[in-house]
Amino acid sequence: MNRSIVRLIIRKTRHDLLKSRQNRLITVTVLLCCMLSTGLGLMQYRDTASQINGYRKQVREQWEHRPAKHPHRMAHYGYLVFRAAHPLSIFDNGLDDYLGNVIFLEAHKQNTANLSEAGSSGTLVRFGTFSSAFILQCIVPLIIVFLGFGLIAKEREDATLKILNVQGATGRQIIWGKTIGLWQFSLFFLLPVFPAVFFAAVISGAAEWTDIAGRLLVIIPAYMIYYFFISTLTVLVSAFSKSSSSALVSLIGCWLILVVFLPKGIQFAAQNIYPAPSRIAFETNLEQDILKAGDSHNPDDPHFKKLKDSLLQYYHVKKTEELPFNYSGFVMKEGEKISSGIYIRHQNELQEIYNRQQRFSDASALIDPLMAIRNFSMTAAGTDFFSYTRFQRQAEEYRYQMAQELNDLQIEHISNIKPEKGGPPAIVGADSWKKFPDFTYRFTALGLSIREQWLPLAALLFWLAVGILAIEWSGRNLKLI
Amino acid sequence: MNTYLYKQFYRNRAYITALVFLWLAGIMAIYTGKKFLERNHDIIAKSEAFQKESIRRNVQYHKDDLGLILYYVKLNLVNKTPQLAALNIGMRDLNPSIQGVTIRNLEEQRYNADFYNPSNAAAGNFDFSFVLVFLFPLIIVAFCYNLISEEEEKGTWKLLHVQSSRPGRLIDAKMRVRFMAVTAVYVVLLVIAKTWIGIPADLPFAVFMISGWLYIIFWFMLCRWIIAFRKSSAQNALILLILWVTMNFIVPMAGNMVIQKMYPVRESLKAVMQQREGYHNKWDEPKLPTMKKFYQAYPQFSKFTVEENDAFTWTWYYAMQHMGDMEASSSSRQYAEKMQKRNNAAVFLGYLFPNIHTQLTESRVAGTGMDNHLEFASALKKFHEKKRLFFYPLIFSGKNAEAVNWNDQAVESFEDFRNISLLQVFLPYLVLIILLFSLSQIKYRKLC
Repeated sequence: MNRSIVRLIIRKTRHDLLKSRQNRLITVTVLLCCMLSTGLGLMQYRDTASQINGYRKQVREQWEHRPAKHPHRMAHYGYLVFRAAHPLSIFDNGLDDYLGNVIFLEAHKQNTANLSEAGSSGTLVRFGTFSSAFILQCIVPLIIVFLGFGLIAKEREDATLKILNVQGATGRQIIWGKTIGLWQFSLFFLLPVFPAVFFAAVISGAAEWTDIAGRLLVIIPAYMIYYFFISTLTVLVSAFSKSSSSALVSLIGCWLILVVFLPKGIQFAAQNIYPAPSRIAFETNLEQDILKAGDSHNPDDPHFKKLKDSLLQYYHVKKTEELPFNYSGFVMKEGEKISSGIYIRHQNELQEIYNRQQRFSDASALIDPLMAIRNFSMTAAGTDFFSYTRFQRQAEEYRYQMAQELNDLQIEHISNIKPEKGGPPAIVGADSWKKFPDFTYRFTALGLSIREQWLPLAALLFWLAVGILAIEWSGRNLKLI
Repeated sequence: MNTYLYKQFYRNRAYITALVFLWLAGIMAIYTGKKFLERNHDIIAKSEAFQKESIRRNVQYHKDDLGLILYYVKLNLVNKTPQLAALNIGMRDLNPSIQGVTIRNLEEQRYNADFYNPSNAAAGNFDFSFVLVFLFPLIIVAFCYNLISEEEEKGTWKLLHVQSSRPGRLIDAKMRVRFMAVTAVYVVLLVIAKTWIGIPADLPFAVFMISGWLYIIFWFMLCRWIIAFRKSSAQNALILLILWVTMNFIVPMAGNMVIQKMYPVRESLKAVMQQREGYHNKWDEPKLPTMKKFYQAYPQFSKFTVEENDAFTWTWYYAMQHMGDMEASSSSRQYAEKMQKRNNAAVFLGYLFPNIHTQLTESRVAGTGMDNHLEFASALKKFHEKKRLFFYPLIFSGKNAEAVNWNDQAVESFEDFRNISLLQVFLPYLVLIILLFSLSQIKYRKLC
């Protein structure tokens, strides 16, 4: 193929697009919107982060300054852990609005993360979040369509396509040239956004700059592939439409289906194919299973009766009060082990349903490239569902450790005999609380996130291949008149 | 003449396809709503059995200790879901329609949201209001954007001029044909929804129907005005699409961001922290000050005395629990006020933008909006207090499980009686419609 002709067409297309004052105005507007949302996002992020940090410190201080207490009191006093969003949520807010920020951790009870932004906002929140990612994913494709719908159809209408051909350009070269020209122009919407996002995220000070740079370096090519596909679609529809106006109508139709219709339809299907239980059903089933396995609060429970008998036999004593350690602490420890095992099993079952819904949504990226870029962008920005489940898991591990350490304190330091009225109370010294480490949330590593959710990335490569093959195929069938 | 225009419209396969597409989207949305409603009813129906079972089990284990039974037993309050909620699911997928609480402190329990997959929640529901607000305008735009420009581009506009003294009339007649077609789809969908879901024909449903219809009229008027500028077809399409994108994406998103910034809700976290301290600190403090505050709140319980060096008593325990709520009460109230303010700001934005107004009006009449959520929260508070005041004297006087007729402790429900101000609902539409009509009328006079 004569490369110089393709290069010529690319340059001509790009320059024509750049030349129009209207196009330059649109580009500047889009970039301004992105900068504005980044700025507002940064402000919001810093507000929330400082608020959450304040509460975190307060929780820690209050924990450390608890007076001497019975360890089980402390286990019910519990701990509050907070989820800090990744700074790249400034760029792609992902699911952040719908995720709770705080979990209350206590003994033998697993609470859920509560207080999401959506929970305290009205219906308006459902229209979506104004972020750079939204503009780049949904609005820019619409603009590309508007800029490119006439690229070939108009030339055919004006009979300049034939002239191009006479001058030696083949159909394949024309389509390649137009597509790459449009694509290069679309990069003007994309590339200037990232330095701003990078600086904003670094300023927030919530993550290493290397981490942020690394994430952005995978996000940028992903969007470039996405725009390549959109440019290809635009040029091809333009090439195979009877007139430029019918090309525009078809392209708007495509945009609607890809951006508005399919994403909702896919989530709707996922929800219906893999229905999730309600909270009330989940909690009831959980309670039933825990009772079946052994209820440490029920004095006649067979599991704990057996445990008691074997302990009495081992230590050659008649009553639990004569045991050399605190018996109720021991029961609690066993109960915690059983109940959290069951809870984790139930939680995993629920998680599995959500995972299936997620995989369905990931797989739908093979039908809708928007789903590919949306899911991939969220994953890379650390605002996806997977990162959130990692937070939940970290919190549950922390809770279990806290409960068991407090049970250990009770087993070792609390007398087996109930204190008499007015006698010394059954408590442990206040310095024990300080020894227990604070909770620190670790962001999910990018590599892990992508390895666990490789489908959107694969789908992006698939769309890249589809774009190239479609151009190659249609280049041979281009009608010039 | 009119019959000719009808024939011309219905012979065009693209128009028919668009109408069928709209109809199918509507049916899908109604199905979504029906599914949602069924699931919701199912949860509520099961909760009755769950509550009974939980009471039975706890009564069996802790027969002699009423305080312990009520430590565990959750009593449920249902937020009644009108059938109309199927057409506008609103926030009901995030905010549970049933909430169970123990008589311990409320603040710790009230923020428990239902389980949901955040990806699904973020994508939003494909409900009828979505179809109405997002998809109907697109079809209207597609039907109208080239009504004048097409004639001009084909070169038939001059011909029309010669034949008719007022070409504006012909355009209006064409628009009327399209308006009738879209209205027909709208009405058919609503009739299907009404019979399929069994929505009662009451005032909320009437308001729902009319507000949606006015929204449709608004879009026709907007198109009438835009095309009267006599730009090219492509430009008309571009302008109308930009308006659609701005109204449906940019404005609500940016508006929401501004509202969140204007009214940041810190009070919820604060309330959670305060109730926790408010309750737990009392374990390490002298008992009498706690009791004093409790008796101040509820003088009727001052006969149940607690001595400073008493061991554990339920009277003291539940008094401590109540302190958690009392100490968080101001933050909790502020939180509710902030949410109300956020909602008011959105309502104000709705007066300017009919799409937001439609969404809010319809969620209001369907009982799925923020106002319903707030009313339910305050009903839950009342419910919690009623239950506490009923059980406290029984527990404090050391009664056992037999003192309570447990059959009376069934699931209760709350219905939000929405008083709808018709003026507030319809005026914003009418103002805009009349404005656009007048503006386009001026342009139409100049057509000839």
